[in-house]
Amino acid sequence: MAGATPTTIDWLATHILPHEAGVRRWLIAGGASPDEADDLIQDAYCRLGELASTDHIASPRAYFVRIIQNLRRESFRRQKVVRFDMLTETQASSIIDERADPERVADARRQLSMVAAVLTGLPARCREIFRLRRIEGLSQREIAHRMGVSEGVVENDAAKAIRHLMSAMRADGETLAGGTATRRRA
Amino acid sequence: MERPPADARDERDARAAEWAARLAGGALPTAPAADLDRWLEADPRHRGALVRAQAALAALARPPMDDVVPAAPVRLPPRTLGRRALLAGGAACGLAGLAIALRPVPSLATGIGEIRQTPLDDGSSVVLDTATRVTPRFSAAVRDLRLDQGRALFRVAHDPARPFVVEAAGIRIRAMGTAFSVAREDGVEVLVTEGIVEVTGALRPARLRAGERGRFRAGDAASTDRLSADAMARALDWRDGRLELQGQSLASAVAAINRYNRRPIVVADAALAREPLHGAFRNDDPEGFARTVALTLGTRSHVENDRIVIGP
Repeated sequence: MAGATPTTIDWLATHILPHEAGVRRWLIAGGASPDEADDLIQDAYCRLGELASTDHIASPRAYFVRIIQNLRRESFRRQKVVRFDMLTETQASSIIDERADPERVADARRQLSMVAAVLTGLPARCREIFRLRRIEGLSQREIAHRMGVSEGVVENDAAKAIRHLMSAMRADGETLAGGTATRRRA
Repeated sequence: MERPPADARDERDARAAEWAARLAGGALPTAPAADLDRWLEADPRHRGALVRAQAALAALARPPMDDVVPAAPVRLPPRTLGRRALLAGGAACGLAGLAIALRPVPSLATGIGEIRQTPLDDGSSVVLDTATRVTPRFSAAVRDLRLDQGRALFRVAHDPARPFVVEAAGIRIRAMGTAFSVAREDGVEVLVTEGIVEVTGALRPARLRAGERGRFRAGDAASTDRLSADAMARALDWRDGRLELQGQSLASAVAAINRYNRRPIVVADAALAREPLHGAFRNDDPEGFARTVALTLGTRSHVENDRIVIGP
């Protein structure tokens, strides 16, 4: 498989991940079911992962939102059902304001505290693995060697932490999606 | 492993997380690589889930000094700067970088009934109306696009160093940073929503400002007029797959709807066709439109031999 390049993955972690919960909230407030929202977001990651370069993207969140809007329009059309309610909803909440910088910073803070909470909540061995990775910059193999465990153990622990963060982000987007949480363009 | 996953999404995330962790350990041996490929092929969502898991790992594994969030918003450098940096990078790392900067974009097209918005490489975006084809030919010096058929709305990223030029049926529309739509229907119709465009190729060069509409034909005299904000918004309703009617005749509404659908609507009665209509409709549901209209006008609608008939 070709897969996303390390640079793109890093860009996603910095510029897209923090906005995922907000976008999910916006989708659900706009009438999408949690499953639909999940599919759209997953699909958007898939497309973003294919980017060869991200230099041309000045506003990553707006780009993310635009991709999702396009995917959503496509899926509306595939459904071939007249859904006036949805049409009005999408128009009302047409796009998250591209210039809302305070919100962008708030999203980033929220994401950091989520990452911190996941790391703190890990079992001791798993926490140590991430400490070695984060602070000492060791590779998975070096970590395994240092801790006297197999690489498989390190991988399993890493996978566990990833899973925690993935479900924390999803829960964040789903629980905050109230009926009135629709964000509008200012 | 711990408790079994609660649902399909958790199961998917769990597998994605495992693969992300394994990929972080380095290139996979042949057998696991084949397993991964099989998993990715099994469901189109798996690829996205993997990318998301990899990004989650990157966020978790990032050194703590990156955790400083700026108190004040950080502005990205202006786009032109970014591109120059990219071009410089291209020069430095030879062909690979250049290939990114000058990568040719395949032509963009929509089928009947399809409306699609697509970002372009330079930060501009284009919305294609039903049955439209646009071929971008971007180079380092100019952003050239050809509208082969249909209608498209261009939102142009500002870049004085690289003009944005749309060519349609011998008419060239040149813009810097602006938004305008171009339609090929009985000549070329240009509608400017923001900024200014220059149009050449007709009898004389013309300049259109925001709120103005021009009709052009290669080598022929042009006609221009100014639209009210409302009329302009209505003229661009097609972007949302929406047709808004404010007193237009049934005949003209039907003509508009028919451009989006393979199964045409026919109005069986001339007097009926002149009836004015009000309301918003989706333009991809001709049967729904016919039913609603029939109800409003106190008549019937039915489907016969691949067409939809409104009338008694």
